[in-house]
Parts: sequence; structure tokens; C-alpha cells
Amino acid sequence: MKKSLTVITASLLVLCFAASTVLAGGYQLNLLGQRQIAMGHTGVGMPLDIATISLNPGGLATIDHNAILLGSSATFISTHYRAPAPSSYVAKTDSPTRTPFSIYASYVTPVENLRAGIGIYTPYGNALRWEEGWKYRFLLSEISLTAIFVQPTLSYRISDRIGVGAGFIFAYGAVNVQRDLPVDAQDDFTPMVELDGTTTAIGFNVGVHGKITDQISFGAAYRSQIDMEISGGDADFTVPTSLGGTFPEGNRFDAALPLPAVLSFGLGFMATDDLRLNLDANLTFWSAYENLNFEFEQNPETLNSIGPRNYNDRWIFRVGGEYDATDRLQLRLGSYYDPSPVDEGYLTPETPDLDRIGISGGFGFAITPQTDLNASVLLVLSTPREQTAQDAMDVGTFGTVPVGEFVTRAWIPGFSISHRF
Amino acid sequence: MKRLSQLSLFALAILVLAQCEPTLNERTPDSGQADFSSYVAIGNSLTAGYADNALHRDGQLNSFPNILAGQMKEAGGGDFFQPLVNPGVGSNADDQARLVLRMTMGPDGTPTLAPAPAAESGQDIFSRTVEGPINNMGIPGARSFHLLAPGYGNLNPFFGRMMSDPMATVLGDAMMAEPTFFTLWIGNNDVLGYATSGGTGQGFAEMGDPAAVAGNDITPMNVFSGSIDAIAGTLAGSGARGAVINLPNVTSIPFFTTVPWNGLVLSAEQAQQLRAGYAAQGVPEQFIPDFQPGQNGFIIADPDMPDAVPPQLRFRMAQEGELILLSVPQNQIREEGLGSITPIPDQYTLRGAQIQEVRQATDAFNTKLQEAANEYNFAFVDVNSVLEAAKSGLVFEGTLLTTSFVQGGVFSLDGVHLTPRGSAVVANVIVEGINARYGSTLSPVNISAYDGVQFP
Repeated sequence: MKKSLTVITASLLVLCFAASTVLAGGYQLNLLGQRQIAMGHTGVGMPLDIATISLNPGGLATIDHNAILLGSSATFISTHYRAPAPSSYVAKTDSPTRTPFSIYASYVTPVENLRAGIGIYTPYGNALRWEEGWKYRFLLSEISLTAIFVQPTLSYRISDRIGVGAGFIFAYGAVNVQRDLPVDAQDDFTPMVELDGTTTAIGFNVGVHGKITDQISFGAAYRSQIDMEISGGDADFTVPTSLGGTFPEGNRFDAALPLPAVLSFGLGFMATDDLRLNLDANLTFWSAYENLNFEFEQNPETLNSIGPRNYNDRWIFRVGGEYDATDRLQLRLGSYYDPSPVDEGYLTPETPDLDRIGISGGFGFAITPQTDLNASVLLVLSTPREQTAQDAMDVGTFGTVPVGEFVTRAWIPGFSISHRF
Repeated sequence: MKRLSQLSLFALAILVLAQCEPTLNERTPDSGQADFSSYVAIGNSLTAGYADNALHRDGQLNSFPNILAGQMKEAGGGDFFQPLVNPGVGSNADDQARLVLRMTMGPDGTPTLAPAPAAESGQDIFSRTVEGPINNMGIPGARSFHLLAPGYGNLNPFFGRMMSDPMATVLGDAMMAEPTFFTLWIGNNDVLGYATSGGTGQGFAEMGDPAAVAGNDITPMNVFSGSIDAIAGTLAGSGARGAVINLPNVTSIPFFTTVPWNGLVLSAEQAQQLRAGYAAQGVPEQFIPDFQPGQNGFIIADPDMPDAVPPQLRFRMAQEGELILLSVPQNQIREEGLGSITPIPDQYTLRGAQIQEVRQATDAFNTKLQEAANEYNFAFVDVNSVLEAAKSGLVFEGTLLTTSFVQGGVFSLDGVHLTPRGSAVVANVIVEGINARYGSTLSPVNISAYDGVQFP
């Protein structure tokens, strides 16, 4: 065990110099449960705890106790930009730390084989702030995207081996986008626009879980696409007085952002009495994200914008394991490969997306027989990605997307506490 | 305990990884075969950072040579000493302050934006003199042969405030800074003097005498050629390397393109009234302009009509391709019937034949500049074709730049000189030219870091 840890440590360090670090496909946050995060965010095929409410509602049927689970992560994400040669220009993000969270509760109902539960979680989100005055400030200076899903769930054990589950999703979304305007003021301020809106939407999450043998289990789950349609959001222009006609005060905007559907499959292996292994795959239907358009109530001719995105559906592959070090301490490791859904030419300052490799680790500790503490750390690695002017011209986005190289580093620690009763 | 140490080793590995930096390192520019240790910019108002119809400190700080010098500094460049004026509204040779955009109420109460002087008169920029050696030898108003004229500072106060000696030449003072690298952008005024005065002077001529060249003439070709040969030869002889920049066509410059030739918009009734008005003044039928409902060419004076036409009838409608200058009193067009009831005087228009003179001179001068650059192996920077392309718009960093007046972002409020953003575009074009010629890797600047026209 010690030897393997040393090997892992050494390989992590090699990766550090060989590549650089990054976060999550598009604006998806796969941070649904701390135990799962520590195992490469696996668990669709093996309901490890009641975080299965979001990962695979079908797994809830296997859980034979009432429980609550509270967890949160903290995102430390830094993106660097470098302008094309021979420019000596580089820029960094100064992104605020966000704390995506998950809250789950489950209840063993009086009805035989029926479980009820509720999950409140944040499957999508983005928080990115570029350094002041950066090169592409006219495209974006800051974005914040928050999506909170509330999902009441029922799960039923059809037989000893098969359980199914379904949840209704009520989603709340909030978006705030800020960018500088390409006009200049005589007074000492930077003309800019802030777009701010909130919305709600509904969806569903269904899943099935089963045991093939006593050692091998499987799961499949599907969470529906949810469209965040913002209608009448605030468009607040800070501009010179003489430009009030072009950028009217009290303007409003409409925009729509899809939170894509996810289809997941998982296999769980009880390798030995104290070692569990998971293999998961998730297909995110990113192709739903075709455009990001802003339509304004006043002066639409000048202000409306169409932003082609044309994302592609992408599979994420995950592997994770958990080892019982003692009766009270579990050690976890995992990894995943998360290819970017974004083609060159469509990289934007709000999601300078890259292929990522995630490496995670963590532990669980039983404070009492009923109460567990879980901690995880996730590192996301990638190599720099370049978008050239030619890439942008090829797809007709030149002038609306940045040109240059991006790399992102993410470090996401988190913890959770669960209690069974 | 053993498990605890394993755990802490694991935690340590994670922490080390978390501190590892992304790998996009800043590039270090290299000077290649060039030596930027003493850069001297030689030229006219465009080099000086003159903008908004005056020389003022903001314009100087954002002059293309100052921007360029900042980039050269990353590749071994030295300090760049500019003859800065004190902060303020600046001044031109006629003691006028720089222009700024002002909101004014039109006669019908609608607010309009128009350039207006920032103060009643210019700031005193000429009484304080500057001691050299000076790196920015951009002299507003200078033509090619002026750079070689001893005592030019006594004629041009912009040189007078910085000349080393009453009989100094601009080129001589530039050489005092011992340039290892130069930019030479000269010749604009050799054409613009004629063009901005509406073609009222002498057009393009092969031969002439520099002493006889008036402010509204095109510099004769032999004078221009001889001057460029002498300047380039002197620079090459000193061992300096550098870049020669060519001249933009007037059709890229908003001073000539902002007022449309056919901006006279009439209703059927107005057209009828105008025709009747001309008839009432006794204008013979065949000389009455053919006013029609909709867009019409402005009525312009045409002194070059045949002798058979009586002088008071030498006017006509402007034709497509002819240019009305930005200097035309636009309030008189709106309120007093200039360009409709009375013809626009010749000094505010460039007619077809005059445009040909300007084009011919610009082409000939640009050919000469390129020949000089080739002869001495200097970099040649084709700013003309970049501004030509900017007519339909150039996209930089998410913003569209055009050569249109005020909104375009490239040209300042005088319609001829550059905004800081325009200077940045020019600096980047020069960077490209220098890198291509000398194998250097100077970094371009971010266009978005520089202001266009500022709005109130």
C-alpha cells in the first residue's frame, strides 16, 4: 500500500510538470457527492450512499436506513491565456471561489420496498472573472452561472436484484454576465454592460440499479435536459450620457442556456471484502447547446447578439476504488477522462474548454457507528489548448471568440457529513 | 501510525499538485538583426502624436512611436524621450485647443454630438523649449524636404520648440540621438496640403523648386525624391536600421469621406422650389441643376469649367466619386442652403480631376518610399493597404474598427490624425513589418487597451 502511494505521488508530480491543471466539461460540475468525487465521481453502478439520489435514483431502493447527507466543495480554478506568437501578452483569471453543494435526505417508507428521498444539488455552474483590462474585455470580463436542482425522488425495489427510481426536478438558475463596451468615455470610467437574470424550469431524473451476481452490480440513469430560459433579465449599461440612445437605460434581455441531459452507466465490483471498484461512463448531450443568443427589448437592431456554440455530445469515462483501511477508515482513489465538447473555433472566454483528466482521492471516517465524515480532493489536469484565427474563420466566429492558448488549473477540496438513523 | 503517515504522504502529493502552475509562459521578445537601443522616430504630425486638431500631451503619450518604443523595450530598447507638452488642451499652430466631442442642442431641440474646441484658445505649448537629444522627431506640418531645411524651426514653431540650434535641420537633430533604429513616416503633408485645401493649389508636377512650394501645393516629384534619397541615405550611412512607412490614400481618411457627395436629400416640393429659385435668379435653363426628389449631389463650385461659361455660372451638382471635405461648414448646409441654394466653394471639395492629382502623387510617392526602403534594405510598412482594408472594417479583440468618423475608432476628431487606438493599430502593423524584415519577435500591443474617440 505504501509503495503504491509513493508511485501515485511520483506520477502525480510528473503529471504536474508534463501537463497543467483544469476543470469540468463545458459548464458541468460533476461534484454530486464527496464519497463519489473521491472515487473519480463514480457510483452509478454501486449506490455508496444516498448521493445516489442524483447519480442514480434507482440505487436508493438498496439503502435500508433513513439518512441525511450534507456536503460541499470549494472550487479553486485558475485559467491562463496567452496571445498568439510573437505577443508577450498573458492574462489570468481571478475567479471567485465557489462552493457547489449537495444535500440529500432519504426515508424508508412504511410501504414495503419503497424509499423516498430528496436531493438538492448543483450539477451545472460557472464562475470566471478575467483580470481587469484583459485583452478580450469586450467579449467577457466576468460570468457567474448558478443552477440549483431540487429533486424529490421515489425508488422501488422490484425484486431482490432490481431497483428503479424516479425524481422530479425543480431547477432554479441565475446568470450574471459582464463585459466592457468598445466605446470610451471622457469621464474616468470604463463603459460596460451587466446582464443579470434568474429563471426556473423543470425536469426529471430516472434510474435503474441491479445485481448481476453478489459481487457485480450495474446501474443506468438518465437526467433530462433542462432549458434555462431567461426572460426580461436586467441589462444594465454604464455608458457616457451621449450614448444613452444606443445603450438605453432600464433595458431588458432574453436568453436561453440549455443544461444538457446526461445518460450514465455504471458497473460495481466487490473485489474483496474490503475493496470496492467502480467503472462509470456518462454521455452528456452537449449538442443541445447550439447558440447563446441575447435579444434586447430596446434597440435590438444594434444590441442583439448571436453566439454560435455548436457543442458536441461527449462521453466521460471514470474509474474509482475504495479500500477499507480499518473498520472506521476508508481510503479512496479515482480518475476520469473528460474530453471537451467544444471544437476549435467555438472556444469562448466564458468556457475556454479543454480535454481533462481528473484525479481524485479522499477518505471516509466513521466518527460514530451512525455518523461519517467524508473528505475529497479533486485535481483536474490538461494540456494547453490553442484556438487560431484560422480556426475561428473556418467556422465563421472570427471576431467573436478569442484567439490564443488557454490552460486551466483546478483544485477542488470538499467534505461531507452523513448521519444514519 | 503507519496508516496515518501513508495518508499524510497522499495529502502532501495532492497539495504539491495543487500548487503546480499552468505552463503558458510569457514569451520574451528578441531584437533579431535589429538593435533597438536608440530608436528615433522621424516624421510629421502622425509621428508626433498630434490628434484632435492639436498637439496635446495625451496624444503624445499615445503616439505610435511611443507605443512602439514600449514594445522595443522588451527587446533591448532604450528610453524614448518625447518632447512632451504640459498636460492640458494642447494647441495647434493657430492657437486652437484640441477638439472634443460635445453634446449640442440642434435647432429642433434634438441633441447632436459634434467636435468642438475643448477651450477658447490653445494652451501655450511653444514658449517652453525642449533640450535634446530627442527620440520623437515628429514635426507637425513637416513635408519631406522640410526635414532637410536649415532653420526650419524659425518657420515651424513645432520644430522651433525643440531645435538644437536656430539653423538646425530636423534630420540633423534626429541624428544627434544616434539612432540604431528609426521609423520614417514622411510625405503625408506633401499630398495632404493640396488635398485638405480642396485642391486649390498646384497639382502633381514632375519638376519644381522647393522654395516655390506653397502650403496648398503638391510637392513636386523631384523635390520629394531628392529629399527621400537624402534622408534614407543619411540614415543608412550612420549604420541605423529602420522602417519606412507609406502614405494612406485620401479615400481612407474620414476628413475626405464623411460628408457624402449626395447628401442633399429633397422632397419633390423642395426640388421644385430649388429649380424655381435658380430660374428666378436668371440662371439659364441648361445651367439649372436637375434637382430630384430623394438624394441629390451637393451643388459645388467648379472654377475649371470652360471659359465659355460665365464665372457666376461655374457650379454644378457633385458626381459620384467626388469628395466633400469635413471642413465644410455643416451648419450652413443645414441652415443656409449651402450646397443647394449656393454652391459649396472649391476649398471644401475635391473634384474628379483633383482627386486624380492626389491619387497620382500618392502612388508616385509610395513607389519612391518603397524603392528607398529596398535600396537600403529597410523594412517597408504598407500602412496604406491596412487602412484600405479598414474601410470595410477590421476586427480586433472583439471590436470592429473602421475608418469612419467618430464611430470608427481609428481616426481622431480632426478626421486626419489617429486616436490612441488608431496609433496602436499602426504600431502593430509596423511591428509586423520590423519582425518580417529583421527576424525580430517584437510583441504587438492589445488594441483594446487603447481608447478610440471619447464620448461625453
